[in-house]
Amino acid sequence: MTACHDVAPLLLDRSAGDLAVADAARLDEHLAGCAACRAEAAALDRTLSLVRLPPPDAAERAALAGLADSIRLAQQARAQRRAWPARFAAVLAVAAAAAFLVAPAFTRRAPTLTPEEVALARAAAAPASRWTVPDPDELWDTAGALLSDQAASTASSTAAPAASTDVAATSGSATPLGRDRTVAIAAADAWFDTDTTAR
Amino acid sequence: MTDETGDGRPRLRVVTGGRADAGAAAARDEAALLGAWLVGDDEAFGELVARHEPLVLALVRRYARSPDDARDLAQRTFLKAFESARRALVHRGAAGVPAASGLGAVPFRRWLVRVAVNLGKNFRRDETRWTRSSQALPTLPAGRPDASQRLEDEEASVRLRRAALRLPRRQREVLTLRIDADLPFAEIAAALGCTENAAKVSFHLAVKRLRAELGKEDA
Repeated sequence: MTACHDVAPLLLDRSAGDLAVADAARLDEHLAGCAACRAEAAALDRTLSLVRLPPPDAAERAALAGLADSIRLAQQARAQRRAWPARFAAVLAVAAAAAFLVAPAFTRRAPTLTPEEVALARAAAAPASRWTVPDPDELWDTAGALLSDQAASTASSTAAPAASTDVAATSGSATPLGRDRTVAIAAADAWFDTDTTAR
Repeated sequence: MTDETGDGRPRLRVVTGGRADAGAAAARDEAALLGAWLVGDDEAFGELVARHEPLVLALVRRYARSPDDARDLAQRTFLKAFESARRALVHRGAAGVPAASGLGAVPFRRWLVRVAVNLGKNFRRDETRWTRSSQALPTLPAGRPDASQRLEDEEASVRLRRAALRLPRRQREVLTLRIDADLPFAEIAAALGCTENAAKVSFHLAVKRLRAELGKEDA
């Protein structure tokens, strides 16, 4: 016969309902011939049966009816709660974009100037407002460079020939491209440069 | 899927896809049910709950004060396990692993057990419906029908159930997983992250303590 200490672990497995089939026959054979182990097995059975819970009664089964539905509802409620931060972020993003688009209309206001400031601004702008695009022909005419060569043949202008004659007389230069003419070319270049940068 | 024909040759059986009926849904394995649930199959969800409802109830009712309390605990257990499953499946889907491929399938049942055990840990109360003497007695060994013995057993039962709730955590978990949920020690070990032998030792120690408690009463 198997010794008591060999079957002791099997006694607990048996009471726990976890006895392997291969061990069951060996344990039964031992219990049939050992009163002490039978008493031990009975004590274990009593202990575990006292601590076990009774099977679910009608009230317990009724309370669990529709559990799947309530879990589903709770899941939906949770999903909605989870969706709130995302919705809030979306609304916030749209509001920020709208503010970005609309804000300039409110922030770009007409400057409020005192009458003194207006006067100063007008004074500063006066030369620019008086400035007009010079006519190249007139420029040449004013400088009197080209016209000095044509002074005899051209009678369209009355002031210019006189000026050119004056210039020629005062400078005493015999060359058609004198100092005034160089200044005139530089002024024209400056005008073109100014015009280019303005564009 | 292959079946053996009468002459021993394998026969290919084609299983059509689409939404299966209730009978076929019962036959689907857990990974397929979880995959279907993730894409909104309500029937798969119901099947998963129905399949594990008895296990979850068995695990949480020891800690419940009332049937409604047990329902609340069961619902919270399912919610947490489903949430974990959703996260794991979505993560695997993002990693390119099909949910129903069986590759590293989500251990949904094990998660339910773990969640229920953890809820039990947080909800452990000395006063539950099972530690009040008015509750029905468990099934006791035959041959003890007399009233005085019944009263004695009822008092002993209340004491032992209280003692079970006061056991060290691991011993209490192993004991309840074994005697409440009837889980084999191998599954208990997997759920608690210990060896099967360690689970059996914890069970042995728990029973030893309870017997000592019973011995105090008898003495």
